[in-house]
Amino acid sequence: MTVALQVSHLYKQFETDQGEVHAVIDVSFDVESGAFFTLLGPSGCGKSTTLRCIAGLERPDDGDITLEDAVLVSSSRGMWTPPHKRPMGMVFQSYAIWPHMNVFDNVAFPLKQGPQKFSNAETRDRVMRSLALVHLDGLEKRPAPQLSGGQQQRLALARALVNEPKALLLDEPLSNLDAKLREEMRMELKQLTSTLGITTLFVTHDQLEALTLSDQVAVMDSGRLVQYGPPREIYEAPRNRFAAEFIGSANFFEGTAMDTVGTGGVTGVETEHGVLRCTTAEAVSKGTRVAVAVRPENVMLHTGAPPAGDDVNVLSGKVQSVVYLGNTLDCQVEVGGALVKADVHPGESVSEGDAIALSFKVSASRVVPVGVAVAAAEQAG
Amino acid sequence: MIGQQTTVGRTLRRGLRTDPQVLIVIGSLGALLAFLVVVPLVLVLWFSFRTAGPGESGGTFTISNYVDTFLNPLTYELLINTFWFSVGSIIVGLIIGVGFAWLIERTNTPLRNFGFVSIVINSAMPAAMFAIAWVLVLNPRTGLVNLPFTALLDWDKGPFNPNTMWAMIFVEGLRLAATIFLMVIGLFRSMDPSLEEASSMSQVGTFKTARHVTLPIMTPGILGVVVYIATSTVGVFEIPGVMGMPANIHVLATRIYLATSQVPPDYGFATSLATIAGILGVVGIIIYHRVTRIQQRFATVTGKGYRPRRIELGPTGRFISAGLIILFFILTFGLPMFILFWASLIPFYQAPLPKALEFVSLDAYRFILTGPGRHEFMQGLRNSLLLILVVPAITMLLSAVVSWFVVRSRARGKSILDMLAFMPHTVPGIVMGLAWLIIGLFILAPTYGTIWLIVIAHVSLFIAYGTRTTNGAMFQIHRELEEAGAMSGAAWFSTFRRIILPLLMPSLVAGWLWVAIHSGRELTVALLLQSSSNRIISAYVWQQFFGGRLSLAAAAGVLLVLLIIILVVLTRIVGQRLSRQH
Repeated sequence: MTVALQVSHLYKQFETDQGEVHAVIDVSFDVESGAFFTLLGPSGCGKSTTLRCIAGLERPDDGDITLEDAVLVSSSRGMWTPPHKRPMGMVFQSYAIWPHMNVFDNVAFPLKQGPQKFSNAETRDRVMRSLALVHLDGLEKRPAPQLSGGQQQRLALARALVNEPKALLLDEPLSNLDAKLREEMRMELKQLTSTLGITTLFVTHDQLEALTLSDQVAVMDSGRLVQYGPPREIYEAPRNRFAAEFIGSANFFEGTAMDTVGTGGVTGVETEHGVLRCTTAEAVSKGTRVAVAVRPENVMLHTGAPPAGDDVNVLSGKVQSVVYLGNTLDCQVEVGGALVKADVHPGESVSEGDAIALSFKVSASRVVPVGVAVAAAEQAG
Repeated sequence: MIGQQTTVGRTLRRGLRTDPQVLIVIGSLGALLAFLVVVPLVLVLWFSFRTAGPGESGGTFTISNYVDTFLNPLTYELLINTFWFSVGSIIVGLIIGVGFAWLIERTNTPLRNFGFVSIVINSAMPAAMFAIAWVLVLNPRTGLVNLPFTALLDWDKGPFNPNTMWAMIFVEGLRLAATIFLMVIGLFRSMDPSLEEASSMSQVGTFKTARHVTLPIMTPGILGVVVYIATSTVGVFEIPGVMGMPANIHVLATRIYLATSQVPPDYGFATSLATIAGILGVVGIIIYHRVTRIQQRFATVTGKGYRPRRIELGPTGRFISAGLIILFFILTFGLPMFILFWASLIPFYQAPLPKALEFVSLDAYRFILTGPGRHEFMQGLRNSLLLILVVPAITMLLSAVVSWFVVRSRARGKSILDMLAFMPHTVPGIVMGLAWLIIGLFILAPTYGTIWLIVIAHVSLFIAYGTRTTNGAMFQIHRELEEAGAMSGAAWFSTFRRIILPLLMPSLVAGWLWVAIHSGRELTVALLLQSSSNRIISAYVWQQFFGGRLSLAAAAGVLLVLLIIILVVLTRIVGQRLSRQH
C-alpha cells in the first residue's frame, strides 16, 4: 500500500477572548491510499481543526501536508495551497446544501464552476451517475431545502464525489441524523467508500462509528494525537489511559512496574491488590508508576475455585450490584475498597452480596502510563 | 398535599387572566398605546376627508382634498422626485454598504476596526448637520470640491452643486450606507460559513464563490433590507429639506412640511399627502414581511460556531481596500465634521484657505454659550437634555410592560397590543409629526409649545423600536423564573419589578441608549412641533442655518455632535461589557 496523505508536525492555535488556544499540537500521521481513516476524540480535541487544515479551510501555524506527491502545505518552504486548488471533496456537518439551487445544480456546481470544463452532456452524465451512487436519482429537480436530513446527507456526499477527488473528507456527517438513519448511513458509507476505493478521512466523536467504519483510527485528546492504528489494536492494546477510557470502558489498577521490558513483553505490577502480571503496549522501565487497564468483558467471575496459572490474575471481592442488560450482566465488584466492573454472560449465577473470585488473563491486562500530572504530583509528594 | 399544589397551579394560571392588577395594567396599556398610535393616525386620515381643517368649526365629508391633490401637477412631480430620490440613494447606499460589509466581515483587509468605528460614529451626526456640511462642501463658489476650479482655474463656479437631485441622492446614499452596512453584516454573520466552504471544496475560486453562492443566498436578505430602507426613505425630510427645498426640489416630506408651515397652513393638502406617504409605508412593510418570510425558507442550520474563513486579499487589494475605508471615513465623518468646525470658527463663511485664517475666532461659541445668544441656545440644550433623559425612560418602561403581555401573558388582545406598538414604524416620521401637530394645536392645546408635546410624540415614534428590543429579550427569560416568583407569593407587579425588570436590564440599557441617541438628534417631528419655547438643539441649528447665521448653526451643531458621540461611546462600552458577561 502506498501512502496517499501525509500529515506531519501539524500545529494550529487560535486567539480567543480567553487567550490562545492550542487546537492542534504536533499531529503527524499517514493515510494509506484507499484507506478509511478516522479522527476520533471528544469535542474540542482538535480533530475537526486537523481536518480543516487538510481541507485548507484553516491555515496551520506549522507543519507539512502532502497528498499523493503534491505538497499542499509546507511551513518550511512557505507553501500553502488554497482549498479550491486541492483535489478533495468534503461533506460538512451541516451538509452545507445550497438552498438556492435544486438537487441537480448542487451536484453540478463543482463541474460547472470548478477548474475543469465539461460539456453539458458530460456534466449531466456525471451528475446522474453521482446521484445514482447515493440513491438520489429521480430527485434531481427537487429544490434542495425540501430534502429530508438523510437525503441532504446523500446529496452532500454526491456533490463531494462528483469530480472524482483524490480524497474524501467527512466532518461528523452522521451526527445530525437520528439513531436508525445513522446506522443505515454508516453501512452505506462503508460500502460506498470501499467500492470506490477512495482515500477517506472521517471525523467523529462516536467510538462505534470509528470502530465499525475504519481501517485506521487516530485518537485525539486536547490537540494531541494519542494513538493511531487499526481499530482492533486501539481497543485491545490502548497505549494510554485516555485511549482506554474513551473507547469502550476499562478498569484501572494503579501501581509500580517491577521489571524493565520492551513492547509486548510481560511485567509484574505492584498494586494495592497485590502483584498483577500484564502485557505492555509500550516499553516500560522498572519503578515507573503505571496503570493496568482491564476491559469489563475480560473480567471473569467465579463462585467456585478460580483458575490458577501463570497466564491469569486472580483477585477476590464482594458483589455490590448486578444489573441485567439482556445480553450481559453488568456487575460491580468491590475489591479492596475499589469498584471493579465486570460484564459477564447472563447465564452466570451472580447475586448481590456474594463473596466472589475475579480473574482476568495476562494478555487482557494492558499496562498504560498514568497521567503525567499524577506522576509529577506523586513524586513531589 | 398534592391537592393543594394543583389548586395553587390552577389559580396561578387563571391568575394570568383574571388578576385585577393584570386587568388594570393591560386595559390602561391598550388605552395608552391607542392614544399614542391610533389617535394621531386616525386624525390625519380624518382631516384628509374634511372640508374644514383642524381647529375650524363645521366642515363636512369631502374627497376634494384628494381630487385637488391628484389634479395638482405638483403632486406627480413630488412622487417622481420621491421615487428617484429613494431609488438613487438606495442604490448608492447598497453599493457602499454591501461592499463594505463584505470587505470588513469576509476579507483580511487592514483597518477593519477603524472601518467599524467610522460606520458607528457616522450615526452621531444628525442628518440635517450632515446635509448642511455637504452644502458647504459642494457650494459652487466656496465648496472644497469646487475649489480647484474656482481658485486655480479661476472659474466663476465649480461643476458641483448641492441643490440638485444628484447631490441629494449622493448624500442620502452615504447616510444609508451605514444603516445598510449594519443590517447586511448581520446577514453575513447568520449565514452558515460551510455553504461557502463547500464551494471552495468543490474547487471553485473566491470570486466565483461570491457570485454563485454568497450573493444568491444573500439576495432575499438584501431584498428585505432594501424594502425596509425604502419604507424610511419615502418619509425622509432632513436631507431634501436642507439641500432640495432652497432650489424648489421637493419630495413628499418637504412638501408636507411646507404645507403646514405656510400661512395659512393647507391642512387638506398636507393630510392627503401624509395619507399617501403612510399608505406607501404600510405597503412597504407588508412587502418586507413577505420577503423576510421567503428569507426564512432559505435559512439553514448553522453547524459549529466556526468563524468564517477570511478571504485573503493580495498586497494591491489590501492597499485599495484600506484606501476605500479611509475614503469612507472622510466622506461620512471626517470631511463634514471638519467643514462644520471650520464654519463655526469664522463669522462669514469662506473656503478653508490660508488667507481665511485671520478671521478664525471662537466668537460663535462665545456668543451661544456666554454671550447674548446664550438664552436661546441654553434653552435648546435644556430641552434636548430633557428629551435624552425622559423619552428613553418612558419608552423603555412602556416597552418592557407591553413586551411582557405580548410574549408572556395569555391575555386576549395581546397581538393587537403588539401590532399597535409596531405601527409607528410603518408610518414616515413626517406623518407622525403632522399628526402630533394637529393634536397639539387642537386637542391637547395646553401642551402645544411645551417640550412635553415633543416628549409624547417621540415616545410614540420610538415605541416600535423599544418593543422589538424588549420582545427579543423577553423570549430569552425562562417562564419558570417568574413562575417561581409567583409561587413565592409575589403578586404580578412585584414579580415584574423584582424579577423581570432586573433580568431585562441589559437590553433595556441598550435600547435606552439607542432611543436617547435618536431622540437627541431627531429633527422632523421636533421642527413641526416647535414654537419659540420648546426648540431643541437640532431645531435651533435648522433655524440658525436658514436664518443665514451659519457660524452659530455650525457651533451648535458641533456641540450637539459631541453630545451624541458621548452617548454613542457609552453605548459601545455598555454593549461590549454586556456581551462579555454573556
